[in-house]
Amino acid sequence: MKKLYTSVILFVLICIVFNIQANGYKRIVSLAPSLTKSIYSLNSQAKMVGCTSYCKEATTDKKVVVASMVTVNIEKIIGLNPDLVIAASITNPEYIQQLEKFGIRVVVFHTPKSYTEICNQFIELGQLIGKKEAAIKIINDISSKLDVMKKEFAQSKRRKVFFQIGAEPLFTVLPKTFMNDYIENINGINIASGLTKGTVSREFVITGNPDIIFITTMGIIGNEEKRTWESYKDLSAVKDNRIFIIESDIACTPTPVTFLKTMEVIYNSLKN
Amino acid sequence: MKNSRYLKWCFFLLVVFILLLGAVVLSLSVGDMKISFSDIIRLLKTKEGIEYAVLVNLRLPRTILAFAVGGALSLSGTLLQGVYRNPLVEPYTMGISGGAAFGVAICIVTGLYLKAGAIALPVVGFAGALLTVFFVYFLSIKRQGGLSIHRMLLTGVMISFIASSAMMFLMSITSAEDVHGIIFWIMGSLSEPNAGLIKIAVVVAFAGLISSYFFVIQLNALRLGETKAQHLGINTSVTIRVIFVIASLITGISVSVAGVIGFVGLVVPHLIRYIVGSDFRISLIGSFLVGSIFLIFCDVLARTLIAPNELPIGVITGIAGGVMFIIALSSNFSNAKSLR
Repeated sequence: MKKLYTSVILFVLICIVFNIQANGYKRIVSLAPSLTKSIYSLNSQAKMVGCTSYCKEATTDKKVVVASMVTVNIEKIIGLNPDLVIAASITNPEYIQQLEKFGIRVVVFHTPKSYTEICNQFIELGQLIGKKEAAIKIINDISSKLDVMKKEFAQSKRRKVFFQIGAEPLFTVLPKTFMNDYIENINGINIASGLTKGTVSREFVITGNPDIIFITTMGIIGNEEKRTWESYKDLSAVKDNRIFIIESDIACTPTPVTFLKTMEVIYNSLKN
Repeated sequence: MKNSRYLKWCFFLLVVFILLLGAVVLSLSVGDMKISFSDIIRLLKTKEGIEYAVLVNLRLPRTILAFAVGGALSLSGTLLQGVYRNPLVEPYTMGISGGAAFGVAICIVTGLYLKAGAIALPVVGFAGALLTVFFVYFLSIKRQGGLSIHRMLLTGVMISFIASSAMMFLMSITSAEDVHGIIFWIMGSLSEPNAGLIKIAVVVAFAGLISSYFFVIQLNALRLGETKAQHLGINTSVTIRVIFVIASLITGISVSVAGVIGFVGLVVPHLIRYIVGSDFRISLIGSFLVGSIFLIFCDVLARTLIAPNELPIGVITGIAGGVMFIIALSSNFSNAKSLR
């Protein structure tokens, strides 16, 4: 009798555990727009109960806003009764500690330093919400499309690239970041490859004489920057007319889908 | 006796001019791209090539702006220290930098900056500065006419505090990029690409210098105190009002175009007083030129210390100016005495 009793309980417990592992967490709060985007690309937005004020898709879907970029409303999160909170490295560690004190599981995704890390984090997120296979499928699909593009560029000669992600101050993409992979994929050389800090002077860029300039600042500023660069007629990028503006929404967000979108924009710009 | 003083002044001005020339040449030759002094002469003749573009579009505007802003801020400091007769007064004591910075913060946070372009920042900054000046002016009008110096100081300081708290509020509710942009603007930068703004800064700085010379006699009389100056026949209320307006305008324009560059307006007047005394006939032009030299040198440092990265110029002026100030204070040459 005792043996039957124990084995039934064990059986029920195992079922519960497998259930959670198979279906993943059910009430998720996202504290970063990039993570929200990933959840949407895995078609799991129904599981999202809370988002930040900067998560465009989620706020349109009327999900509850629980945080801005730097401040987090702990009480609101707890009120939503989530079983998982996903955060990025910008979230203050104090908030994470407070949430964990309430027994909520918090998973922090630090800013990925490469496309490979983006993929690994995407799969990890997929596993947490019970969509691991879907995540792996998406990754394979995107990676094969990227490989096709990379092969094409691997044969062209290496060109110097300046990837501008800020104006006032002038900010460049640094090596060992995921955005540097955009440059690597087109077989380019980042003129800032020796730097550890991103604030550079205009003179540095002109001395580096890049063959291609990408600008991802938003609004009118991007156009103003392009005009400023075009006033230096002797720059290689100006002579070949290779200054391109890319939306920072897709270029600066570390998710696999936006990475591919950015590479497609870059590819189309360079092929024309 | 009289002649030796004027001789000393002429000698001082000569030395300062030579230093200014040296500073300008240094500023034009320093940077990531190698351009030596002989290169400069050659490029000015041929007017071709990427080096010429760098020289004329990047280094020359920077140097000119440093000249104008350094001169304007130092002149403003000298004028204000003369009017307030207080050695701790500097152009930002009246809250102008707070008002301008708050305006810029609003501009960035509301997204106006992205919609209207880079010109929005100096325009809104100047609007904020003007608003502050209006407040300080109108809150300090005495019943019998004229301005209360005490009240101007206090109102200015209070506005500074309010503005900086309001700015911190804005920064706490906005994105990290916006905060970075606001802080970068506040720390000061001389890399202004709009040639029109630089021209405005230069014209206003010179206009300030020339117009303040119309009041040099009144300023010298004010050194004795408001009452004694009145007994000498000086219309102190008009003088104080005009000097206040001149100092505010040149500070407001400088802050709008270059951000908050501190310490220049505090340290240079003291330096001038120590070198040539408090006579405004020499200290107005003296502080203007020495301020220009100081800021040009600080800008060279800002560009070279962590090259190819650039330090914000407010960092350099703050540290360099602060250290110089402490050294000067702690030595035997107390400047407070020479304020009279």
